[in-house]
Amino acid sequence: MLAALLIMIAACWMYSITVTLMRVRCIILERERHAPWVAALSGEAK
Amino acid sequence: MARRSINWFKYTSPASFYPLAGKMIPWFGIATGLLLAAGLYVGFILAPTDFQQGDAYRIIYIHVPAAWMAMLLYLLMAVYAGLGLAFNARLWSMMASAIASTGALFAFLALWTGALWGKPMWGTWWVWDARLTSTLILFFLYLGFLSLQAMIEDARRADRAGALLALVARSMFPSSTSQSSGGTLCIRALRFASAKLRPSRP
Repeated sequence: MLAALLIMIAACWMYSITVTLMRVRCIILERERHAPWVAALSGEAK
Repeated sequence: MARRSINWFKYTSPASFYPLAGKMIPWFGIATGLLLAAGLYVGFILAPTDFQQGDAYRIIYIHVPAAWMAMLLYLLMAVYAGLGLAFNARLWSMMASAIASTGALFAFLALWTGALWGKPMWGTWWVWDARLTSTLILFFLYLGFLSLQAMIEDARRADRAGALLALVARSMFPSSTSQSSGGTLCIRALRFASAKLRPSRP
């Protein structure tokens, strides 16, 4: 069925976007750990 | 009435993008869950059995999207890495790094599901034809990109080295990393999937 294939392609797209955004957030925190805004963020978390 | 305009360049800064990404993740996550459930239900339960391949053909509902995404994500990764290199933008290089592991996952999934389908249909797990070999090269390119970035301690140098690797590989292995073979694969699969809807003629 064509519909299933198109839905699965859309699902893979959504998954890729979700995982990329989650991963890029982790990379941002790792690389910007000395930036004041990350320190402020971790202060908020505490 | 005053027009409100959004300054999109603001979101190229990691500090501005971080909270925006946090807001977008739940929406894309919900869409992923719903679409995945619907796609698997229609593909594995509602779709009729093929008269030649039986139920083995159903693997196309995972294999084709995975292969297509692997190639498309490489292209996207190379574009982000190239932009990061050209404009010295940190966020775009970070995006390229973030995309690489998802691309590697999809390339592995495409190889694995292809082998699972190949054994009952072709009688072998693997053949060294152009499409399979180019997907294997694509998988190794992802692993190479990830390894190169991991082995360089300075993040900016790692970004530059990764970008060069992604761009050079893109120009050297166009069949592995471009949409030409992925597009052909997708069109063939779309034809096959749409043919399932037509009733068989005597």
